[in-house]
Amino acid sequence: MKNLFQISLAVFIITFLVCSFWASMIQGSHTSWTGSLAYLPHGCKVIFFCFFGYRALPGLLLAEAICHYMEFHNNSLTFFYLASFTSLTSVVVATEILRWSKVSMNSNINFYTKPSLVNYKFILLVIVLSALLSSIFTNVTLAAFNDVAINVPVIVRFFIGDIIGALLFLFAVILIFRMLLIQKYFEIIK
Amino acid sequence: MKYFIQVTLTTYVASMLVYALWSYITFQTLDKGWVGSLVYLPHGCRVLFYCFFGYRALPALYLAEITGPTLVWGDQYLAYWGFASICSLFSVVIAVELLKWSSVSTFTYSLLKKINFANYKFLIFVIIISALINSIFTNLILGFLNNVDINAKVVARFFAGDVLGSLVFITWLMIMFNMMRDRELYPVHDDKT
Repeated sequence: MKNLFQISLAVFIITFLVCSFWASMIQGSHTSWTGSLAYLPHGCKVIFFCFFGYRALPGLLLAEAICHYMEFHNNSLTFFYLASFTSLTSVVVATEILRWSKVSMNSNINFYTKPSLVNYKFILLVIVLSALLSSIFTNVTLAAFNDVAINVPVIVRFFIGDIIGALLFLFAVILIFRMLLIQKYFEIIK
Repeated sequence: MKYFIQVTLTTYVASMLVYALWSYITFQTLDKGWVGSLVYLPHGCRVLFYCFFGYRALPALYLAEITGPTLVWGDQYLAYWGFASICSLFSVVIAVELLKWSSVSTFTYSLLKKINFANYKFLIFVIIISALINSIFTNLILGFLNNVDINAKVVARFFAGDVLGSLVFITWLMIMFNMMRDRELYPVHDDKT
C-alpha cells in the first residue's frame, strides 16, 4: 500500500509537470497543432507503465485528466478526457502483448546502462505499438463520442507525436539519470 | 530462378482467387459493400505469403493487388489504389522486419502443426502490426492523392478488416491443410521441434 502511494505520487507529479510543460509550449506556438508532433506525456505513460506496471495507472490517469482539464477546458470536445483513458489503455495493451511474446527477454532495461538498441528494444517496441494503437483508437473514440469527423492526417499526427514525444522524454530521463550518476548523487546497487 | 517463378505463380494465383472470392461476397449488395471490408481476406495473403516466401513473393502480391481491383469490381475503388497497395505491402514488410529485429519469436511454425500460441506468435504479431500501419498510412495516401477526407472510423474499419480477414484466411488454410494431411493426400515430414 505504501509502495502504491509512493509510486502514485511520484508518477502523478512528474506526469503533471511534463504535461503542463508540453501544454505551455503548445499554447505559445503559432499553430497549436504543431505541439502534438512531440507529445511528451506519451513518454511518461510508456516509461512509468513499463517500470511500475499497473501501480502507475492511477497516477498517470489522474495527472493527464487534471492537466487536460486545466489547460484545455475550453475545448469544444465534450469527451476530451476519454482520450487519456484510450491512450493509456493502448500502452497497457502494447506492453502486455509484448510481454506475452517474451520479446527481448534478456535485455536489461536500465537507465544507467549505455543506451543501445539491444537494451531498449522492449521500450522502443512498446512506443511504436502503443503509438499505432493510440492514434487510431483515441481518435475513433473522440470522433464517436463527440460526433465529429476526425481525418487521417490527424491520426498520423498523433502517431508521429506519440513516438517523437516518447523518445524525447526517454532521452531526457536517460540524460538526467546519467548526469546524477556522474555527479555521484546516488549509487547503483548491482 | 525456377523457384522464384514457382513462388510468383503460386502467390499470384492464390491471391487472385482469394480476392475474387472476397469481392464477390462483398459487392453482392453494393449499399452495404463496406461490411465486407470488416473481413478483408486478401490481407491474409499478404501476411502469409510474405512470411513464407519473403521478398520473392512481393512482385506477385503487387501484381495481384493491382490486377484484382482492376478486373473485378474496379469501379468500387478510389483512384490511385495502385499506389496505396504499395503501402499495404510495405506495412507487412515493415511489421515482419520489425519483429525479426526484435527476435520476438523464431519463425518455425507450420500450418500442419497443432495450433498453439507459441507457434503462431510471430504470425499474430505481423497481422496486428501490419494492420495498424496499413490502416493509417494507406488511408493517408488515398486521402492525399484523391484529395478527399477519410475519417477515423474508416481507419478503424480497415484495421478490424485486416485483422479479422487474416485470421479467417489462416484458419481456413490450417483446416484445409490438416484435412489433406489426415486423408494422406501428401506426405508430411514432421520435425520434433
